[in-house]
Parts: sequence; structure tokens; C-alpha cells
Amino acid sequence: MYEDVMNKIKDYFLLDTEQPNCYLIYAPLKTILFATNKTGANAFLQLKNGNILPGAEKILEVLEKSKINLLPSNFNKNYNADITICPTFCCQLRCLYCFALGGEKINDLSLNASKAVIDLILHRYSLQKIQSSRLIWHGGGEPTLAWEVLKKTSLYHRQEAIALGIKPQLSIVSNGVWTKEVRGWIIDNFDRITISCDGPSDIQDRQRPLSNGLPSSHFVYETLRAMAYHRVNFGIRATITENNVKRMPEMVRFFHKLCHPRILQFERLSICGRCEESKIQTGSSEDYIKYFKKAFEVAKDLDISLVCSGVRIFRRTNYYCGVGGHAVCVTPEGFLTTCHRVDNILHTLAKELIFGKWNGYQYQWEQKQLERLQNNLSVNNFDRCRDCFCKYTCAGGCIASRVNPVEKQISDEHCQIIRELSRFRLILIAKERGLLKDIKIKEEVNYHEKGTRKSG
Amino acid sequence: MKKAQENLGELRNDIIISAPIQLIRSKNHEENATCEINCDEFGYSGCSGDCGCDGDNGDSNPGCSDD
Repeated sequence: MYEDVMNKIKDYFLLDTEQPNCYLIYAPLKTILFATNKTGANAFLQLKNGNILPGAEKILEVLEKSKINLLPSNFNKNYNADITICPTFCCQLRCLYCFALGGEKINDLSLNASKAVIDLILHRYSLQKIQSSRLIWHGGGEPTLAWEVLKKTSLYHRQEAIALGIKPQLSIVSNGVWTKEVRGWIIDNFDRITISCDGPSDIQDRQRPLSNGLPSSHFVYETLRAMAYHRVNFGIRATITENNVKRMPEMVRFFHKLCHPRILQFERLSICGRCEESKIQTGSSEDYIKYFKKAFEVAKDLDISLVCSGVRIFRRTNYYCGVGGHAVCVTPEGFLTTCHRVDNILHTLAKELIFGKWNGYQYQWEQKQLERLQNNLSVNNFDRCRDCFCKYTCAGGCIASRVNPVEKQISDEHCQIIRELSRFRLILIAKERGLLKDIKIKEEVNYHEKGTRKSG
Repeated sequence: MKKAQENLGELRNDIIISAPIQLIRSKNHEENATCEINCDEFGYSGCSGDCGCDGDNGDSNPGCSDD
């Protein structure tokens, strides 16, 4: 009984709401949240330390006997036929922070290699029924610059998937500097579009200039307006640096006015690639937290979802991203990798994450390497995450960042950001759903009953 | 001893807990305007379809910050 309780309670967490006598108990694996008072919080902490105080059973009952339907426990066993293709290192921009030094290398993936990876992915699982297959075009460089490969491979993927009874889906992550022809075709054919843009022109043009140093903003804004006009399923991803960390609320209003996005993703700068040369910095983690919260409130009022990676309170996972053997990405040089940042054999993580290569005729790859990653990169193997309440939502953060010595400190700050913003989101939900109010009302009832008992 | 038991009894009565809520989106919540919790993470960063929804829409690597 005792061991059973202790085993279960290790994945339940206590959160301070910063309101008097109000705490939250959070069970991420069960996706359950409820509030308690200070006495309940103390009893819960005692329970975590192995002391079962009278009354603690009330807390256990909520967690164990809740009628809430539980989700399946095998939440990471998803077989998919998704593929990310980074077809080129070429780029029209010279973003100050580009992880791939886009535009400095000229390698392109051949059409044969591009089509072959579609075949590989669609036939990867022969025994499991695959419902859908998503083809995602991504950088490294700007994928639309490999236009013929992109267009022909996208059509090939659609044709082959449909022939196998699999639903094809088409996505792209792009800088948005498109010709009229490219824009028209993408709008007509893609299911989902993500445009990278850093906000008002003074920020966009400073952080994401064209290769000749001229402004890029008007090209990107034209694309974003077209997305809005054609009611495309699109989102915007912005990089948050020392230049715009305090301007996040303004950025939300700016994007709203420009193109009415439904989703915005504000990601803190990752110090890698061209950052070494440009010396661009992140800004403080305290500022990121403070202004993200303000921006979140602004976005909420405008009916926009503002998100950042790692803060995902509705999700349960053992892996931060697909790097743990779930993602398949092909680089311009024909490497198969589980992380598009690990796109060359000189990268520190190349031996671990690059699991195959195009040899000019076919892909040679190691399924066992993917299985090893699935075992090794599960959050259950990360000591630093053991007692973190974000363990099953963030699941350990970006592996590529963690092995970068420059990013080590930033990686620790990332944990602080994830925890604080996750707590912020949980408290907001607790407020919206009346949990905190519930505690106050019950507290008052309790107080009056006690008074009555004493006087009686 | 009796005093201690009284204190413990008081402790039991003093513990107050709210009703629990579940942090989950309804199935196909994109189309479902009455999603249990006003889902604000649909789409892009993080949603892997675990909850039975349609999953992420655009991630090259679900969860990755580069998408």
C-alpha cells in the first residue's frame, strides 16, 4: 500500500499560485488539476516525503478515484509516415541567428533523392495501418528556392500516398520571400504554412535582412497579407532576441493588424550558427517571462493563441520533439537525421542523430539507431527532469541546445522559462475554471462552521 | 495523546480541496467550438495528437522550436 502510494505520488506536483492560502496539485500524466489550501498543501508535501497524515486520503481520492477518463498510456507509440525535407542550403536572407548558416553553402537535394525518401517513408511500416502522411518542407536554407524539387516531390507524395490509401498532407516552414508564382502554388496546394517573421520592420529588417543587406520586411508582409486574404491555415514564428524581447506585446498587436493570424509562436533565440559572427544575444530570461506573459494576455484578447515550445500543458509526452527516433528528416546533402539542426557529419551529435545517407541510388539507414534513440532520449532517463512538474509536457528540452557549450547556461534558463510559463498557464486555467474561487468559498464555510462548533 | 489525536482530526477537517478538472482538449477540437478548455495550443508547437485531436499542423519535428 505504502509503496503503491509513493510510486503514484511521485508524478503529482504542488504549485504555488502566489495567492494566499491557494495551491494547485497537478497530475500531468492524468492531466488533472485541482486546488487546495495551505493545510492540504502541507499534507500533500508530507505525503511526498512518505508521511501519510490524516486527511491526505482526500487528496489521494481525487487523484485515484476520479471519474475522469484516462488517456491511453501508450501515448508515444505513434507510427507515422511523416517526412521533413530540407532541400537546399540556399537562402535569400542572412538572418543574424541562422542555425544552418543559410546561403553560405550551395548544396541541393536531387529530385531522385527527394522522391526516394517519399518511397522510404510511405513503406517504412509494412504491418501498421498508417492513416496519414505529412510532408514538411523546411530549412536549412529557404525550401522554395529548390522550386522544381519541391513542386515535383509534393505532387509525387500526394499521388503515392493516395494510391496506398494514406491521406497526404503538405506543410512548409518558410521565410515568406516568394515570387508571385510560388505564392500562388503554395496557397493552392499546401495544408499548413508557417512563416518566419520577427515583427515590425525595424526588427525584421535588422534580424532578417536580405543577402545584400537590404530590408526583407515588405516581401514577407506581402506574403502574410496574401495568407490572410486567401484564408490559408497559417501561423507565424518569431525569434525573440535582445532586440525584441520587451516588444512582444507590441508584436502581437502588429501581427494582428497585419494579417489576423490565429497562432503566433514566439521562440527565444538559440545561440548557434551565425550568432557567433553577429554576436546577437537572447535578452534576459526574466524579460522573456515577463513580456511573454503580457503578450499572452494581449493575444488572448485578440483571440490569438500565443505559444512557445516546451510550454504545452495539454500534452503528455516522453520526448521534447521527434529527435528521439520519431522524426525523419533529410538534409540537402542526403543525410537522414532526427534533427534538422544536425545536418552535417561535423556536428557534435552527428554520430547519434544522423542515421542514414543517400548513396546516389538508395538510402542506407539504421533502424536500430532509431530504436536506441527512443530508449536513450526518453525523459525518464534525464535525472535533471526527475522532479520537475513539466517532465511530461516539456520532456527535457532541445537536445541540440544542451550539447552546445555556449548554450549550456541558456539551456538552464530555458528550464526556468518553461516552468514559469507552464505554471502561469495552469494558474490562468485554474482561475478561469473557478478552482481558486472554490477554495476561498470552502475556506469561508469551514471558518463559519468552526465558529459555530466552538460557540455551540 | 488525546490532544494529538484531536489535532490530527482538526487537520483532516482543515484540508480543503476543489473539484478536479482535466486538462484535455476534446476530440477534433478544431471544429468543436465547445472544446472543454478553450484550447490555445492547437496547431503548432507541441500538439502531437496524443489527445485524439488532429495533431500538429506544420511541425517538421513536433515540439521543436524551429517550426
